[in-house]
Amino acid sequence: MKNNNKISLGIFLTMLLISSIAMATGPRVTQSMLVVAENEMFAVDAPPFISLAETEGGLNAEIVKSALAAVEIKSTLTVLPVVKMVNYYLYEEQALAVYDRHMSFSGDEKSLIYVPVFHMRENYFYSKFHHKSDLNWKGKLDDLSGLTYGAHRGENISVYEKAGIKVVFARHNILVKKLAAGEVDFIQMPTLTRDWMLEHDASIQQYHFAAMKAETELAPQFIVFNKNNPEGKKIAEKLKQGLQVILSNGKYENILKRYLHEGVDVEARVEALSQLIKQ
Amino acid sequence: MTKAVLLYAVALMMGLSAFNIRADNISFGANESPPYWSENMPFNGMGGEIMHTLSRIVGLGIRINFQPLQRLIDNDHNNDLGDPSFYIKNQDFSVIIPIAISQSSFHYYRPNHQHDLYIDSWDDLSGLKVGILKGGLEQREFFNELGIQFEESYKQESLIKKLRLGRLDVVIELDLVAKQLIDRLFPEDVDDFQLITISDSATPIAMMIDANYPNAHQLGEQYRKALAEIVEKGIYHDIVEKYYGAGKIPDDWFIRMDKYQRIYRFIEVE
Repeated sequence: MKNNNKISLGIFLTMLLISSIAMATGPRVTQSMLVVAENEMFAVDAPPFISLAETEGGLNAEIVKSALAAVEIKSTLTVLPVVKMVNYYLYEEQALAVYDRHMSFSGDEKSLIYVPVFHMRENYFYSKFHHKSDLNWKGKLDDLSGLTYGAHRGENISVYEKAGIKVVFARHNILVKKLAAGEVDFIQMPTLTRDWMLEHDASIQQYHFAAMKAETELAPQFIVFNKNNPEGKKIAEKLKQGLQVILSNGKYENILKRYLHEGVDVEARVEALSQLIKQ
Repeated sequence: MTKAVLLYAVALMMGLSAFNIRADNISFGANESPPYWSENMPFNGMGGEIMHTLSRIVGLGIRINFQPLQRLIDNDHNNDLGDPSFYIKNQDFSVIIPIAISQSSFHYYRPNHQHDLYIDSWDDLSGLKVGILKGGLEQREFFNELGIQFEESYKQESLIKKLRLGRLDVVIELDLVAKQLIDRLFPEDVDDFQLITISDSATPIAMMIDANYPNAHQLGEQYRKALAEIVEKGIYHDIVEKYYGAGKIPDDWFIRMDKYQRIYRFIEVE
């Protein structure tokens, strides 16, 4: 999607260790409980990219973990419940690095270093239950004028406003509910996220998440390093080196094959990152 | 006639009075989780006692509605008490004030071990049988590879009983929950139960006021001021110590409270 060519994405690292906020009424036992955080980075739970449900922390977490392992760097990923908390650590505590697809970096772009780690496709999804005749989408937002778009908090919505589309902001979980309830007409998310939801959540009905038919482009996701952190520049550079190593030894491709479904263009993604990382 | 007017006036006054009581009350939802929150404990447990004290200073009556956790999470228009991470994914709050913390420890029964236990890494638990509450274990493969045997139980009480019987070597549980159970189940053996605090396990216990609640920000400021007041006067210390025991409040309690208060203030909705 062209309107999202510059998605402020991130990614996230971990070197075997994932700490998170407790979610159960008793203590939540994770391997990170007994480990001192090292090169700590922060992300929002966003499966399959960042997910405590995945053994290695999710697709992006595993890519970063593997890339840093290739250059002998350890790191810790802390998963937070909302984007604003990630913002807190970035701006108030000068965190080393952060990741979320919808973070808005207010004003201080010069202090940030973007390292691409993965290319994904995003699509617009609508509910066939509420729109039995498919939405008239031919690749231009003007086609959706008059409808209501469910935007993630922090998302740049100027293109929707310009196209005469109403916008409702909410967090991902709420947007999914609103789409099913017909309170918004369409939302945007990575196709992989939709697939993950359908596989892991029995309450999700496929007909509520029909993809609009339009060719979408592969767009890079980034981990965002903070130059104001003393290690920011160095670890960002190390990650780039590590990515080159795992791209050339086949490790990167193997990770993608484990997370992506058959027929999903692994080779195109490997090639896209290889080109981007050289720049 | 005069009598009727008088009765009407009294009824009106009673009605207004009832209205004022309702208007001067604030309700929160909480999940039964003694001794932090409990419908059956005096003052509704430690968190309840702090909230009742704060509300009295603010000049509000407080009602705590005890409900299942999932119902509280699904209700995105109420005020909540507890760990904010349960709620903030689904609901916006104008006020989030951490009022206490909870933290976990490794608990063991000393007579069942030849030596004191030292647990600095997961390797130290290799070969031991560890008890936890059902649903609390993440990344199971990692622990299997280390040879740590986890046994999950639906009841915290069962964990403590098994610990004393030697059917479990170690139990991972919230400090206050374990303390309360040990005090009740084995009052003669309290000193034989040892704990090793997991330093990075702290989580906040907070009061949260919904984003659409009338005058939420103003109320939040009043509650913050009241919290500062009871901390300064030592009232807060006395409440917490009542539950932890004399001199047993975790050392870094107020440092962690301060950190959580900064983080959660940052994410409040304007």
